[in-house]
Amino acid sequence: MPSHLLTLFDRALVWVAMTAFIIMMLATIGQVVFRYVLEVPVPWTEELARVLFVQAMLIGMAIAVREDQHIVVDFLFKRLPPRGRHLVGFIFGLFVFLLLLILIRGAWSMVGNNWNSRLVSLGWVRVGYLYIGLLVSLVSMAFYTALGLAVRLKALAAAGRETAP
Amino acid sequence: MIVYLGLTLALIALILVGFPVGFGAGVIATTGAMILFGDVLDPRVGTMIARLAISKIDNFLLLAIPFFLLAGRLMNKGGITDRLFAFVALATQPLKGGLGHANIGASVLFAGMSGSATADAVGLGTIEMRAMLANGYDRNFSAGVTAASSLISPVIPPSIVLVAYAVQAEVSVAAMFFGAIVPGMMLAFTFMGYVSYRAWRDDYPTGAWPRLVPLARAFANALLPLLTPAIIIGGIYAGIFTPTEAAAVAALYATLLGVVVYRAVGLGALLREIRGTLVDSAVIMLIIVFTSAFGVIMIRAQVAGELAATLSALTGDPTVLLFLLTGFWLLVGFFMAQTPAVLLLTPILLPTANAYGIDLVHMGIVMSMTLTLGLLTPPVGMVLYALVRVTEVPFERLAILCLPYVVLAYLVIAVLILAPDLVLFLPGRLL
Repeated sequence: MPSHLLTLFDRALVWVAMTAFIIMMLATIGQVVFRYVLEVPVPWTEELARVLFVQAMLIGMAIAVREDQHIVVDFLFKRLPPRGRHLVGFIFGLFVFLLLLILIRGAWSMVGNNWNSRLVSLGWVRVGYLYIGLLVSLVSMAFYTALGLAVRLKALAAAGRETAP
Repeated sequence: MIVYLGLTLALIALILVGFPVGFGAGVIATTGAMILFGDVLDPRVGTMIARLAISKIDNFLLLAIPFFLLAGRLMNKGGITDRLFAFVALATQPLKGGLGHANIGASVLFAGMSGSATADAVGLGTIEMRAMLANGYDRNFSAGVTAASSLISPVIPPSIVLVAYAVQAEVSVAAMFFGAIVPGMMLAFTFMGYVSYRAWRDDYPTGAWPRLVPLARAFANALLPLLTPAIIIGGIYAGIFTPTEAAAVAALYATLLGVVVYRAVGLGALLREIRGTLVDSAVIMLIIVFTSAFGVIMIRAQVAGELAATLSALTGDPTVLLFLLTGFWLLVGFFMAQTPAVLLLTPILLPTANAYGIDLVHMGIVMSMTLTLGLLTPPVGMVLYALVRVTEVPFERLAILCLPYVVLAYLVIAVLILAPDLVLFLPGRLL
């Protein structure tokens, strides 16, 4: 994938997640304002906030994969020599990739299973949409994990060439 | 049963060798589901975890986590921590070793606005270290008390780890918050007792009584941030806000203070903090999703129930059990950060707590506090790592300097185990 397209994709994910996140915050604060200041209970703010939160978090998970931010206990890992680190990292990445493939299949089924059910207060939102968000997140995570695997593989090959006589 | 215990051990091994915690739980949960359904390619494996992913994070309570994270970040960026510390330092000046007490006092106030120890260590810690060194305090003592005081943040509400526990254990967030107030204050007073002892032993300076005008001015400067804990706890107590709404209001209040009132945070910085909060929260949510899936598998495979039965063969006494569990949690805390550990262990331990009749709020506070000690212990103490740069004290020495505080904090936990009412009194009275 050309690097400018990749940057565009990265940025698109960040902006979608940030927009969802900020509207989620405003909806939650709006809920308090509507109830206490304007004394008008608005039933859909909580559901809207929840839906946007789910979407922001799902995309945030993919951003965290891209930026290598997921929590790792690395006190043993970082003691490995560089080649060992790349090898172990590659194997880990492979497991994560397989996990994501299984979940993509599951999320795809769930989109279909939930297509006809709708949210309570936001009747125009199909529950299936939530699973589309999950699908986008899982596919993005799988994509970034594959990119990471390629980087590890390159590093392993380079290390192999250096140690070769 | 043996297979699933093997899977649990495999998960621990995966985490220890550096597999990302959340994904590790996901891989093991998926393997467990494959064994449970008897087929590697059974489509129910993927659908079950996909369904859990949405149902677990589609929870209004969880929104509190990013809001409290954001509030803590903005308090640090917006110069609010400086104002707090300036006021507390002046107020504690007449005490022997006053800045040591100020260090703890400021953490108590900061804890009432933020829920994470690393936010305390990095933000407030920098200010505390600078002030203590400038006033002739020994670097080692200053580093120790700065590290230890950051333990107060995840205990005194609001607290991210308490919200995470409440979600996993399905108990009230408000009950967890009120239950943590007395333990948090006990921790602070115990640390202050130790600071007094050190101040007396090493003859640290005693300052003059502050003059009224500067003290009043420092108080006025800190007044608006000082209202935050009152807004959060008072709002929840009065039934004005749910904990999530209180968190949202706290984040909004921190934004208003930083951006509008003190003008210390620009729009760019605000967006950067929101972006950081988004990713930090998503990391926690990923762990919630997969550890919940792991928990469900362990319950379906009856491992959690078997664990309760095995423990009951060891002891029938809930107090003894809690002491045994604290040993286990301490061990886990050595290797894992508190929030992921709480997320992972809570679903597995719930049947045990119920079988022994242990109050879930009591267990949650004891468990969270014990796991919190891991922030100050090698090899993965997050506060230690965060403070190495701030204090310029090497990691190993910093860990040794924290040891007295870790022992004292464990003594506080022991008292809480022996006297559950210290935890349960406030939620019982206030809710």
